[in-house]
Amino acid sequence: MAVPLKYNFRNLQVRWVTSVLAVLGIVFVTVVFVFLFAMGLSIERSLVGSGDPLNLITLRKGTTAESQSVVTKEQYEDLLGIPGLHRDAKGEVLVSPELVVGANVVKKDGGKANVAIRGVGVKAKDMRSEFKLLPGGQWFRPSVGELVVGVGASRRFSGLEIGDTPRFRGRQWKIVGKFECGGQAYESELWGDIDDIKSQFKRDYSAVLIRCASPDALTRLKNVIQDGKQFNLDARPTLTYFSDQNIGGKMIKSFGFVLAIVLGIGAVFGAANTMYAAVASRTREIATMRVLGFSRLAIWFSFVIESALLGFAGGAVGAAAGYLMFNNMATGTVNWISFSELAFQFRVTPELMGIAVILATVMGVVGGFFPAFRASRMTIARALRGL
Amino acid sequence: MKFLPLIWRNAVRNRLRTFLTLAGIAFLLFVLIFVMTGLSEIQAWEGVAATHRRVVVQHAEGLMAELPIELENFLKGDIISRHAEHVCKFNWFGGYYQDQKNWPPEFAVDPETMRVLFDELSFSDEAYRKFSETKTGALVGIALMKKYDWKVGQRITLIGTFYPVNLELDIVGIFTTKDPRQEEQMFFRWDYLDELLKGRKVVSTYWMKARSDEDIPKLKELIDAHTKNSSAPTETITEKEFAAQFMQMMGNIKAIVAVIGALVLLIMIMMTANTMAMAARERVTEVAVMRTLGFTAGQILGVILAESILVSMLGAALAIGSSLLIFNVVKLSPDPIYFPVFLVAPNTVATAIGAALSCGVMSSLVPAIRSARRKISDGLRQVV
Repeated sequence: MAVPLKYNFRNLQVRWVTSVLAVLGIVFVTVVFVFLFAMGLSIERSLVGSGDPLNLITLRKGTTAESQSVVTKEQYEDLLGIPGLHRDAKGEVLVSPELVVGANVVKKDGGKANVAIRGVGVKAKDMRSEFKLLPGGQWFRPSVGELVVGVGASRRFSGLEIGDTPRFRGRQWKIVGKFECGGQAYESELWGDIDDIKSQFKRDYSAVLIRCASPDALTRLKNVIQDGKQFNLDARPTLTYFSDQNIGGKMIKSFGFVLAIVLGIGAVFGAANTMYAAVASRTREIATMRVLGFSRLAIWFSFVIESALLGFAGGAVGAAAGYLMFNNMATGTVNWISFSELAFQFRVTPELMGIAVILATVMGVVGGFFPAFRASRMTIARALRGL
Repeated sequence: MKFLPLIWRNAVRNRLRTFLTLAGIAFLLFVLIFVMTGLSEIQAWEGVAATHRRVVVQHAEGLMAELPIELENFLKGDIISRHAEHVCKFNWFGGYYQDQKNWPPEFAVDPETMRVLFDELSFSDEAYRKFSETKTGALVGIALMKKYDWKVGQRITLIGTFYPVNLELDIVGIFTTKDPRQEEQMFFRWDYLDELLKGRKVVSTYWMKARSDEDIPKLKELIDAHTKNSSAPTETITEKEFAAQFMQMMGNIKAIVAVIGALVLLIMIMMTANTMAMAARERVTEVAVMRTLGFTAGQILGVILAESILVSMLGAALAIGSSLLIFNVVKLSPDPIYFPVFLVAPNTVATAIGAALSCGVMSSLVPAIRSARRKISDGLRQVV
């Protein structure tokens, strides 16, 4: 027969100071864990899954970022000459030459960062299925220096709202619209007309985006460009292009994982201490329970459960606190590959909270394991005699 | 001092409990030391930059933009040379060696001025002479030489990513400096980079040395006013400010580390407080007996505080010792690309000791005061 759960609740209640101290330790560990993982996962979410499965991006050989790549007009025309390119309903090829440059803008929380400015043509919107211009704004007109801003960039930087007139490369630009793009990295950018940006920033194209009809066609075209000496370009699916940039996200996640483990070990020692004390102060109680007929296993289990309850409570409070503190927090970090600001929002997801609670409970179980063992091994006679 | 044996006896009375507390503190402090070392490494450049009085001219719109070569004449001209000397072009190359895992920091500089401008680098006259004579020459930090097992005279290829060219460099000399981070860097010639770029005259920044601290604001004003209405407006900043902007780009790392550090300290205090509360509870009768024997309330308070501080400090010693061993002796880095050097700084050790001390005091203050204040009669009456 198992020891009733009520027994454990009552115990935690009676020794509430110790219980609260033990729970608080686990709460803080959980908060640190939720914070670091929410950050790592949010960076990951804005990069991994960015791009369109059917889009191929071509860059100068050897480069990993659009901002470093140069594609000449001749190379672009060579690409247009590839037979059998996918066409839209109007019969036009879905190929978009683009230019990514950068300029320093002041962040809302102080300091400057580099915002990516993307010059695009008419096809760019159609080639990103998640692209959506928000109501209240409009698409830029070419050659008058108009820009549209991604929601992420607009949240992260000051002076990038509709109607604002930032200055880049000696020219006054005007922001006329705001767009969403399914949470993808594009949302951290400003978009303008390709010819405007090219002439003002004095650059060639940096990349050419090509829409393919199917995943097979994409692989085929990728090989054609990659192997074709005449192009001298690298081609890769946009999905891979972005997920390769997830260095920061990976780093923070592995960093968070190691920190959580070491902090967790520290917290386990604390929990073990609490449980050893609980066992020591209840020697006679334990003996009495044995006399009443509870088995060693039942007693062991009861103490583990009590410790697990401590961990669970700490995890639940910590996860809830993490959610309240960090969810939807808008921030950003540098994308070292593109050297520009990646704006992102913290998302404390139910999955993350669930994992945090499970981890905290495990901390409790591990912390209670050995003290419970000690409790269950007590011989009745000695335990009754004790104190 | 005569209480030391008593404090020690108290601490080791419940060995298991003391061990668990001590180990918990050690693990938690290790985390504190780890995140603080990360922060201090990121800020290291800012710290040393302030001592050199160097000034950097960059494009007002950031490092992605280029400066015109014509600006060099102005910077070397009469107006500026009254306030600064040793103007040097300075481009970050951003190439890798053999594998995309190896990114030695490579900088293109002018050989004529680099020696005086970066006077903290020490290399032989012979190395400098060769660097001046060899267009493809490179001066390499000693740590970098060791890392890739390079030899003087060796030819190395660096694959460009930021620039569409590859460097074929001849190592002409080795330099050493006081700062181990700088010894992971290498310098090559700007005119060689320009030759590869077919004379496009790409200048990313100009560096120079202010003649005195008072000249720095004047330089900022003069240079930025000169370029204000040109196609490339500049931002003239100190080397420290230049370093700080990389930190700003990464986001609010200081705040993140501060929050994690504060939470770790709180966890430590919770845990130790729990231990000390348990210890104090067990010793109520004993404390009352000691009071009857003539120990003062203050002595009781002191003994309990000292025990908690002792345990915390032992935990700190473990954490500091192991982190020094792992990071400073074995020289393990959590990420060799972003942290080529990862050394626990003296400041960090001091902070860890401070954290342990405050943990020891804060965690035992309440139980110690309660024990000291309790009436002897109440203490004797209490049944544990």
